[in-house]
Amino acid sequence: MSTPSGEDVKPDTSKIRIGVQFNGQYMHSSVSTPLLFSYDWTEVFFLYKKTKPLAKLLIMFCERIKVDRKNIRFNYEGVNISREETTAEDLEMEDGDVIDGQLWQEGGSFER
Amino acid sequence: SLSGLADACIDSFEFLPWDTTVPGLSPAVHLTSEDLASFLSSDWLNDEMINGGVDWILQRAGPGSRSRILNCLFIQSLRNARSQSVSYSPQKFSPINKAIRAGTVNLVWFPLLVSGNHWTLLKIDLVQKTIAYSDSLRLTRLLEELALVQWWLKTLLRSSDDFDIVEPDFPSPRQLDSHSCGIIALSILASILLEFSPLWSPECAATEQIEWFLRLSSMFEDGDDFVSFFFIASAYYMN
Repeated sequence: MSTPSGEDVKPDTSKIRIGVQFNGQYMHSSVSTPLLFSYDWTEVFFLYKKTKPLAKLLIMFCERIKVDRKNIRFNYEGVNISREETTAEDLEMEDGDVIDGQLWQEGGSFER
Repeated sequence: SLSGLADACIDSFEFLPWDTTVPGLSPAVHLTSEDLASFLSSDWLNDEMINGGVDWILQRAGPGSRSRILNCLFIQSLRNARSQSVSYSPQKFSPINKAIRAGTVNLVWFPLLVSGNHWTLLKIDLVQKTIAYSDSLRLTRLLEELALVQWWLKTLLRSSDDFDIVEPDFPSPRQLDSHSCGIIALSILASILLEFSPLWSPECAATEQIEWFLRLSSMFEDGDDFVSFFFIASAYYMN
């Protein structure tokens, strides 16, 4: 790669494409817990630094799909990405890998 | 006795950090001290509490066990996978998928949230090719979830036949309150995989809650002993 003036520019290898996918389903609706939730499957790719905490990327994703971050569990290859400091490098992610987003779950009965 | 367990709880408050993550659990679990405290209340169990209990059981069942327990969020991974592809084709094959395909697992247990608010339990018998469903309220029937599980198994086992649906051949206590279904699922799993007794009953509901609090609290004392095992035998990862 080179600039208009002919100088060579090295590609930025510190960044990779990271996908985040989410397919919300429903939470039960009852008189005491009116928790309806529905969302079509979506996948968004970000160009992101491998050494930067993924927490910011996940917040960006949640803002993009307009869902509260607290309602989604994110994992990559079975590793829960809840720790603020976890990076793509920590998870040995490669270009094009996708993080799975899943709806938070809670259960006890049909009525509280 | 209940009073002895209550004393043990009070003693544990001396060493439990109030705002941290429970150590020694698999990377798939992010159980906090706040979640831990919820075991002592009538709050409903969330996915981290179920997965924390499952992790605790799996660690003690050991790598030689031919039973596995799926992460309760796996059903949503299946939904994601189903929405993208006609056949189950994850990015990378997880250890549980590899173990099922290799025939090194006989039983797969699956804590499953149904209707968005009730924990139930599936038992998948890979030898008999059957699925049994246990609902502590005896009120639900699985349709979409069962179809997803059948779809997943058929791809993994390269089979075109559905598993037969059978009645549970394990004790399945009946829930009388409005919050114990998660504890009941964990109690059934501990009674079968670790031969713990007695099984949950309405009379010992409070005792079981305290027991689970103390079991998971103990990870603060001995958590690191099991971490290395779990990185090797992490057989119930999602996707």
